[in-house]
Amino acid sequence: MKKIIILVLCLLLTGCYNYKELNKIAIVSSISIDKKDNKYLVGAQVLNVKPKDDSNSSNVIVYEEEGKTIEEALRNITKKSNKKLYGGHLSKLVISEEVAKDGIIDIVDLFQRLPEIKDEFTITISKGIDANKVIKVMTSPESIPADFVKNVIDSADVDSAITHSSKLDEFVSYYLKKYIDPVITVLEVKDYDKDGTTLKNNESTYPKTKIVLDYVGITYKGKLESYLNKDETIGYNFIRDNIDQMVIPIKCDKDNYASISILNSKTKVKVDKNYTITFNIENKSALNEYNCKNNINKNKLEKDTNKMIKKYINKALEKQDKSKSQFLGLKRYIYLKYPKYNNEEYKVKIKVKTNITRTGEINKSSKGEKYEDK
Amino acid sequence: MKISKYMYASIIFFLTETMFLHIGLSDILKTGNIYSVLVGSLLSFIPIFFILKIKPNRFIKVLLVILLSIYFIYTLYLIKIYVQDKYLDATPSFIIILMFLLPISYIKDIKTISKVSFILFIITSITIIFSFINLCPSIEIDNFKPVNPNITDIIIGSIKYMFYFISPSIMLVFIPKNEISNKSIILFYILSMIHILILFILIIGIFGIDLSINFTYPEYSLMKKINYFDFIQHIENIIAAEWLYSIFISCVMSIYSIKKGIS
Repeated sequence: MKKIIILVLCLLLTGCYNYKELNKIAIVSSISIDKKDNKYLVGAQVLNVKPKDDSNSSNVIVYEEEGKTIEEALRNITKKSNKKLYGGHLSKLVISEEVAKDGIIDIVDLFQRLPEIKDEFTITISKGIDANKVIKVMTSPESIPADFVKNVIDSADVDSAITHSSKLDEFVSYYLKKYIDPVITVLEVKDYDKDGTTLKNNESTYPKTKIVLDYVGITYKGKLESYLNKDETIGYNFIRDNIDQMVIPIKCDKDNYASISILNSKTKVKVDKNYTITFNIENKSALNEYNCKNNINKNKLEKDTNKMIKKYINKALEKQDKSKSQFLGLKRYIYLKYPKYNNEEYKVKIKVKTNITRTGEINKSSKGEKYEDK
Repeated sequence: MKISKYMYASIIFFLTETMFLHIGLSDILKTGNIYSVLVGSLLSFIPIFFILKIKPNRFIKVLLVILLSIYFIYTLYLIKIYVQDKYLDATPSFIIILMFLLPISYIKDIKTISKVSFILFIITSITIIFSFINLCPSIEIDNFKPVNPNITDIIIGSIKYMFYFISPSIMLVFIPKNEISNKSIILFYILSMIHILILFILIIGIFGIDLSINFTYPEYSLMKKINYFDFIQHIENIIAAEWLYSIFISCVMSIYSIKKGIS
């Protein structure tokens, strides 16, 4: 009898009490946050479930609502969508410049708190444009704009070092740590107009409205302070040991350049008791392009690459000196070794060693000596 | 099927881990260092030998029945908040507790408990290895710095660790002495210690102390990071079920121990 009761109860209790049918949820791929009249204007880009052969409608729909809190604004979206928003696949959060200057840290709480959201989505700032406009742009050639932008950021981070993909957990972790401030990815929209939000934008081989990366923004006390340019961003990535791959153009004669491709870079940091931080940067590189007539001088190219890397780093250091933000985390390097460090003066030394291990399929440029005759 | 001494001893693995869920991990993380885990792990060997030598008299039995009744209610509470926080947020508490009480009421003797425990131990071991391999490269050594241990924090942390780790093991006194051997018990104690240590290393190494103390369930937040080839991800609910196994075995064992104590 007891077994029968248990069996019956097990059958009754199977299945989740608060189940959600797939056709009742809207999968959110991007969220934008702007401010309007002291309220948050929140946009949610959700995947549009449509028949496979339907090429006339967009793959995503953007809903917008406002509220005193982000959660309230997102709940208000149910007035427009018949589905419940699901944030488990959120890949990008776009914050307007205004909101970022007021405090990025003020808006991340919801995203940390909800268990369904993975804290590995990228936080971005929309520079010079409303955040909701960024998530409305119909990008090409990827079908889902959020995936497209995520891939652009990741590949710029990994292949070019011209940005840093700032994830939520990293942002909060750096904010909480002593003597370091987080940086944040910056997005810009070129030639925004209404057509850019429609499928028309993808009809041309050269879409008019485009989302482009604009390096990184630096923060101070959880608020956007200013932006880094390309050289400063590369310098930042060298110091923080974030370089996977990148290309450095090196002048090999009066008018021509060679491309040195950094394949593997490692930054080791040493701090001595006089608070001198020494960055030892070693990298393996390849000569991928050589447009000069003269013979390849590997030693000279290596030296010039070293100089160029030092130039990038010095630019980042100059920016650090002018900023309140501790985006390079220099003082943190000292603090980690000397916990009693208390904001004293410090010095920075840079040592770079480039080793060009590959020069490609040909020895010297095919221009040869005939070049001048021609 | 013959029940080996290792099967009985596998119960220890889950008993020692239960208290770390929700409270234990966060509490020790608040001491701000990993040394308390290391010191606490080593010190925990001392009380376990005392527990194994206890011969329960009438007074000890009454005391343990009272303590284990409180512990049983606590584990039910633990299961309710964990399941509601992470899995079934709209499900009423009594249904969650009922779902656990049904199998608990079915398992009566120590042989069944040890068989279930051993099977769950194998599943848990696979998930631990699976998650460790994936999460290990994300560890940042800087997160363990600066190395300036505060002795008071280490002492407090290691005492807390010992309490969370050892206190549920008191149920060992109700397992028939001829069914367990010191060797098998120590083996599963060491395995459990290694698991807890791995968890602390991963949590501090990946999140850093400052961030990890802010999590309600740092172990669950850690599992969210598992990602194999951008293909196997969002599996935190499956991996984190190992904590449910721990609570389940603890519940079953406390019921068994209370019964034995009363009889």
